[in-house]
Amino acid sequence: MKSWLPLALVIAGWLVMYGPSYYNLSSTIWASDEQGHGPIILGVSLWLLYRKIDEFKQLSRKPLVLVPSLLMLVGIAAYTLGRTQQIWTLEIGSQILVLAALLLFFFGRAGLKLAWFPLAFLVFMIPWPGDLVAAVTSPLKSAVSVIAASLLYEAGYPVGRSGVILTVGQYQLLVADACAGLNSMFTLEALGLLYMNIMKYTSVTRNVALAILIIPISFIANVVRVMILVLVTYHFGDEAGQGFVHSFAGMVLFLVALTLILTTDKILGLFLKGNQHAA
Amino acid sequence: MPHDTARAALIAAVMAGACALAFAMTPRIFIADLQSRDKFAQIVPTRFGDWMVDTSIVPVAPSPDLQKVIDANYDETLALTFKNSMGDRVMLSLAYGRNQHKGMITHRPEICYPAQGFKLTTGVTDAVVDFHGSPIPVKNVVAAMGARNEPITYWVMVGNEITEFGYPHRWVAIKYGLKGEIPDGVLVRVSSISADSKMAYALQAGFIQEMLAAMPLDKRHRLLGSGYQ
Repeated sequence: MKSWLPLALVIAGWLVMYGPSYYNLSSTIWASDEQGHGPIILGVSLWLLYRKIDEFKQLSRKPLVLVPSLLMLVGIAAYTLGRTQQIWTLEIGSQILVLAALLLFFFGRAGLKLAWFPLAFLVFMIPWPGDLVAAVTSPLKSAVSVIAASLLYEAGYPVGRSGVILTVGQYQLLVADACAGLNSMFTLEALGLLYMNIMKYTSVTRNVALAILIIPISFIANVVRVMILVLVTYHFGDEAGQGFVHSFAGMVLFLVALTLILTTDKILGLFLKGNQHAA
Repeated sequence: MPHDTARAALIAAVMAGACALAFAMTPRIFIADLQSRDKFAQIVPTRFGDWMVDTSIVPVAPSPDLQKVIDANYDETLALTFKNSMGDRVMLSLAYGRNQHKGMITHRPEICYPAQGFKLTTGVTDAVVDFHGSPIPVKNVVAAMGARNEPITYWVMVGNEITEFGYPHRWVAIKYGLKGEIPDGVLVRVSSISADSKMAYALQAGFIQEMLAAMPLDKRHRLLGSGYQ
């Protein structure tokens, strides 16, 4: 029997529904700094689902009808409203509802439970409304520049600050959105959760602690990034600084955060000894 | 398995239906095409009350970079300086965008002034300009650069109603969008250079009242919406 046929049909349906969305995203917000991680999140979610394919095959299936039909209906309403009125949050967010409905339609609750992580992971690719993001990030942005500036000042650098504008020597730097945005916070939180999911810790405490600690970690990573930007600009000039922003800044942020996450996890491991990997 | 295939086929059909529904419901009708739209130069009188266009001041042409941004964002702009017999000067700037579906096309002065090196010295506050007993909800903000202190009064109209930037603007656009229509928008901005913001706002309110009063009803509606007489 053609066991691949149902899957192929559902994937085809998904592509008809979301293919145009992905196409529009790729030429708009996926091309921007703030949402550049979108396709990566999508890819990782797909990969995580794919990894579970054998577990899905062995699942004892109890397909549902009513609940997933309702979820699907709400998902399609959100999708239609989002797509026709250009509300990305709804259009992209609806994926989670539709995917959850699909899992329930074919596998029942066990399917949803098996795939909860890749499903929840999709939250990180939802673009949130600009005003909301600005409201959350502007205090963070000033905090990042305050701390970066005072640390450098203590170290003897001629650094001044007014709002989110840093002055170092004769140079002026703007701590831009992408530097301390909710977006990098979001990306790093996603990275941390992915790390936890791959490590498969059984301890709830360890998982929750790590998930919460990722917030200050991404904050620190942003401070380090801004400090490096200031130092590069001060010692090597404006052009070098801008070059750093456009080529290495993201990488540095990522590396600093990853190092901090791994270190934090090791330290947590010392305190929460009883929780070995569930290998 | 056949059961699964049937279910999958049905679900795939529903998903394709969602795509078709979204396509069918996408707004395509520009209300600018349904109604007549005069050019700003035909709407704004060059002389009214005690005010007349000050031709001695040619507005500084925007830099080529800025002009590109303006062309990309607006379908029509008009900038005029008026003076009265007392020697007061008021700058009027109108901007028109045909497509307000996505919401943020007419730029907020509180964003576009700082982008040109101005500093906002006050927050944006709500104010009211009375027009024949109907209050016009406007915004006040002061922009400054060096010694130049520029209090600004502005409002924005989307479709046929005065709204606010941000979510209210978006909400109006969605109300039209659900009917399959794409509203247009007008930004009306009046400013003067003065150290005394309070006096400047009073001057601007008077200017706005006289200008609107001098316009025929249908032209006035292009700046205020038909909710006003």
